Amino acid sequence: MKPDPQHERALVEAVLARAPGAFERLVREYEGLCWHCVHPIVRHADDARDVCQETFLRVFRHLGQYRFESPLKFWIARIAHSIALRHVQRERRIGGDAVPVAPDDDAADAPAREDEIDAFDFEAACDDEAAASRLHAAIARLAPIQRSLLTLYHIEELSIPDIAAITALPAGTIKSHLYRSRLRLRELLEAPTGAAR
Amino acid sequence: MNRRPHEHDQDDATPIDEREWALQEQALEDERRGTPPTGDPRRLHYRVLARRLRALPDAALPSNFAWETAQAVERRARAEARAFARFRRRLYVAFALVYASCLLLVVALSGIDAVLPLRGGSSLRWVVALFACVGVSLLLRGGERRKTGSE
Repeated sequence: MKPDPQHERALVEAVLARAPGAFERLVREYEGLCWHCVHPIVRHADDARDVCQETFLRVFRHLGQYRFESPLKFWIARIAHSIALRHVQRERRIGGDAVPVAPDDDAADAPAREDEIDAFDFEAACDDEAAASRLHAAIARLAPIQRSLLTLYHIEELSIPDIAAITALPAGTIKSHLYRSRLRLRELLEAPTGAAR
Repeated sequence: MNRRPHEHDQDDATPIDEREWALQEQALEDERRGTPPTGDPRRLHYRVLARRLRALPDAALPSNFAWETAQAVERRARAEARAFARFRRRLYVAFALVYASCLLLVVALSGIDAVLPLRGGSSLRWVVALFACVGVSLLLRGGERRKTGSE
C-alpha cells in the first residue's frame, strides 16, 4: 500500500498534540509492519512483542524529530529493524549463541540442480505438508537478516529500494540475500526426501 | 560509509544468475496476480515458495497490542514527566541552598555591612523585579498544571 503523506502528517500532528486515541491509532496502523520487521530477526514471540513495544516507545519519544522526509512507515520500520538487530546482538553476547545475524557463506551457495522434475503437480506441491514443514524448518535456519528481507519483500511487498531505506543495506546486498535464500529454499522444495542441506 | 556488522562484502560479490533471478521474480508476480500455474517447473517451485512464504504460520501480536502499548507509553511518559519535575524541584532547592550559603559566607567573612546596600532605595527596583519573576513563574506553572489536568 502506498503511504498517504497527508494522512501521515495528520496522524503525526494528532499524536504530537496528544489527541486522545491518536497514538493508539498510530500503533494499530503500523504494528503489522513493525512485527514483520522484528519477528523474523528476534524469532521468540515474547521477545518480539517487547521489541515492538520498545519501538513504539521510541517512536513516541522522537516523533517530534520526524521531518516527513521519508514515509512514516519507513521511519518506524527503520527504528524497529535497528532495535531488533541490537536485541539479537545483545542476546548473542549474553548467551554466547552461535547463530549469526548474517548468513554463513559456506552454507549459502550451492550449484542449482540441473535435473529438473519434468512432471510437476503445482497444486499437490502447495498441499504437500511434509514439504511445508521442511520449508518452515529451513526458513527458521536462515540467518535473521535473510528471514527479515524475505518477509519484507514477500509479505510486506516492499521494493528493494524501500527495504534498503529501512535496513540501510545496499540494494545489491539485499538482492543477493533474496536470490540466495530463495534458491536454497527452492532446492529444498525440489528435494523429494527433504535431504537438501 | 560505515558498514553494519551484518554486512558482508562477500554478499555484494555473490554472482547472481540473472535468469534464475528473473524466474524468482516472475514466480512472485504470478502468485500475486493469481495467473494459472503453467510453464517452467523451476518457476512453479518458486511460486510454491512464494505461496508458502505468505502463508507462514507466524505468531502475531495480540489483538489488544495497540491499546496496551498506548497505555504503557502513556504510563512511561507520565512517570518520566514526574521524575523530571522531581529533578527540577531538587535543582531549585539546591540552587536556593547554594545562594543562601553564599550569602551567609559573605556575611560571615565581611560582616552585615557587605549586604546593607540592598536596603537602599535604589535596590527597590531589583526587589520588585525579583518578585515579578517569581510571580510570573508561579502563574506559568499554574497554567501548565491546569492544562495538563484538563487533558
